[in-house]
Amino acid sequence: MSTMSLVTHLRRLTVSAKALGLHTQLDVASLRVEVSGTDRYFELEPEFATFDPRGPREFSHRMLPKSRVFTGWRHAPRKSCAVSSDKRAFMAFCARNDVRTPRAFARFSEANTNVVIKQVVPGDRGLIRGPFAPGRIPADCLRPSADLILQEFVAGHMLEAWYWDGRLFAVEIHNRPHIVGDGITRVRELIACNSLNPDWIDWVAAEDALRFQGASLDMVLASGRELAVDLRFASALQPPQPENVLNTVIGTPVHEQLLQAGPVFFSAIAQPIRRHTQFVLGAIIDSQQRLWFTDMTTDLRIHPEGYDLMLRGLFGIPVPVPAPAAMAS
Amino acid sequence: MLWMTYHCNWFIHFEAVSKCLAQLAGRATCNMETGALEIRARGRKVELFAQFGLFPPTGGIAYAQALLDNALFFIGWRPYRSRVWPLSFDKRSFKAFCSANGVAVPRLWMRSEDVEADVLVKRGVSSFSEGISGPYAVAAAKSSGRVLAQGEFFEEFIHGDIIKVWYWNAAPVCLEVLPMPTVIGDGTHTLRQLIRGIKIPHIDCDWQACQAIAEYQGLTLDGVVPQGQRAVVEFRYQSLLHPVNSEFPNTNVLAKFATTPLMEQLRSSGEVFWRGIPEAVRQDTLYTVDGILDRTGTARFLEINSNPAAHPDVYQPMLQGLFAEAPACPQ
Repeated sequence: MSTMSLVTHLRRLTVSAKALGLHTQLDVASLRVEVSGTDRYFELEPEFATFDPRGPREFSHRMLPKSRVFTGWRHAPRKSCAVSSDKRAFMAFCARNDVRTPRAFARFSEANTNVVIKQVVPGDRGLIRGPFAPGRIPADCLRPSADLILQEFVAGHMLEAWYWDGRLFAVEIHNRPHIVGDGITRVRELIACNSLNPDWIDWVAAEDALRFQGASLDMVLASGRELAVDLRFASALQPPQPENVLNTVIGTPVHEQLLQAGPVFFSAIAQPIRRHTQFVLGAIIDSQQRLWFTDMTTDLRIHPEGYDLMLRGLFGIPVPVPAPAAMAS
Repeated sequence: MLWMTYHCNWFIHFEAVSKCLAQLAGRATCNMETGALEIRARGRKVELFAQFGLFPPTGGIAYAQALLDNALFFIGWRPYRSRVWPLSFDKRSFKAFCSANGVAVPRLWMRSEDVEADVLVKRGVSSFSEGISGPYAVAAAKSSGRVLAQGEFFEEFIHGDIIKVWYWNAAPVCLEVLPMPTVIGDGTHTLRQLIRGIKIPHIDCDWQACQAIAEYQGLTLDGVVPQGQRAVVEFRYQSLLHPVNSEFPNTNVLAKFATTPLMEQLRSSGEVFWRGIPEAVRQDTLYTVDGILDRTGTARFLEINSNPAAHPDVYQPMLQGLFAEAPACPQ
């Protein structure tokens, strides 16, 4: 499965619709899909994007000459909320709702722990720098800017959790991409070997990650020594990983925290537009399996495993309740 | 990431067909369970059947004519479910047919002592570049005493660019020309390290095949490649060692060769290839022919594929052909 292949999306949407007794019809020119039941129908809008290893960019519901990925069908129009588009609003929301999120610092001089620097309003480039030890923030990052925030760096696995109307249905977990030394090859070359295309490598991000670990691009890495080389969930250096690991976290503290977070963040979307919305929460899992929520994305990328919940929601078909025995197990 | 490449990306195929429909003033519906298209234009109706690609658990790539749960990328539409003919089944038959009809192919030998050039060992019946070994220098092959297994043959190894030509009936409609991937020695790194530097990450490559091509050039995988020495590391189509273009562009370069002798060769060879298809399945057929473009600019053809991935650029000639205006009725 790929969450950005039209083949996967079309297959999953069709199977979900058929299982619910719904009929689907695709418009060949626009790739809009009409899903119809006995007494109503909905039109789903496709979303295309250009490819970037840090995640799809330049979203459009029309195919553009440079579109290369398909990010799913959505019940139009696309919705958004301040919590998903502004990091300060996200942090304020977390504070109001007792959701664990990394500390933020208003000024560079206040940063007394390891930090990352993020954009308040993530743009197409998705700027993120760091991690930096206290007092080690590079000069080029030190410009005071209203559009940047300093956030405590939390080490751990990176997680994305997908929700439909606040209900959890998919989880992806990534380790930070890393390289392994062989005692003869420079770090720069080891990093280059991990990307499909050298143009995709964010060398600034790699240098930040290396500096934090006391390493550099031009050093030869000792045989067997590992170094993390990026801190973002999506990276050109990320090896292929399983795309939905929800089943592996069920019954763990991580699952419990994700279940609690769903309705909380669902309430961040304005009530009049809240229904029929998919959102994604980003978080770090620390060594004690605590989640530190870092961001929310609303209605931008649609997960192919979410179509069943989407169609049930649109057509008012109840979600089956697991049998007691299954729940107990 | 195959599903993102220009010719395996389904929505690019949809876009290509949509452009053709506009020209034909036609319309199409897609069966979402099978991916098939039903096209209506000029008073006629044609069904195009879909094929999908997947990575089976046993490794490699497979094509499926159904939209299976593990289908990942799109292989294309054509106006029939499947067609196979003898020349597409066995490379030896194809070469014999080409030779008999004046189409350039690499030389072929069945016994090691008869070999007169550097060679590969291939199987007559195989897909996706499977079952190939070598290359071997002529002297090594000749003195090897190697007895070929059933179905194998020695094929002349030609240096040049790898080409794939899509034909709609007898006409070449799309062409890819890919250089054989190379690395350049720096006097420090071993050949294995240089190959790791260009290969697609996180998937191990066929080191046995790399070893063979290294030995052919007097190198070893774990030996340092001298400064400035260029070594060919792959001769097969679209392997893990071909560079990935970050924009996944259209790789059809047919138009660039429009007025060249190569184009003339592709056209005349196409007439021969098409005649090699039995009449019952000849009309309205899409196929590809693989080859090597040698140093003189001549294509030397290797095999014909009856069940190829369709490039999005094939729909223009395909649909123009399928919906061609009927000839005027005799008075």
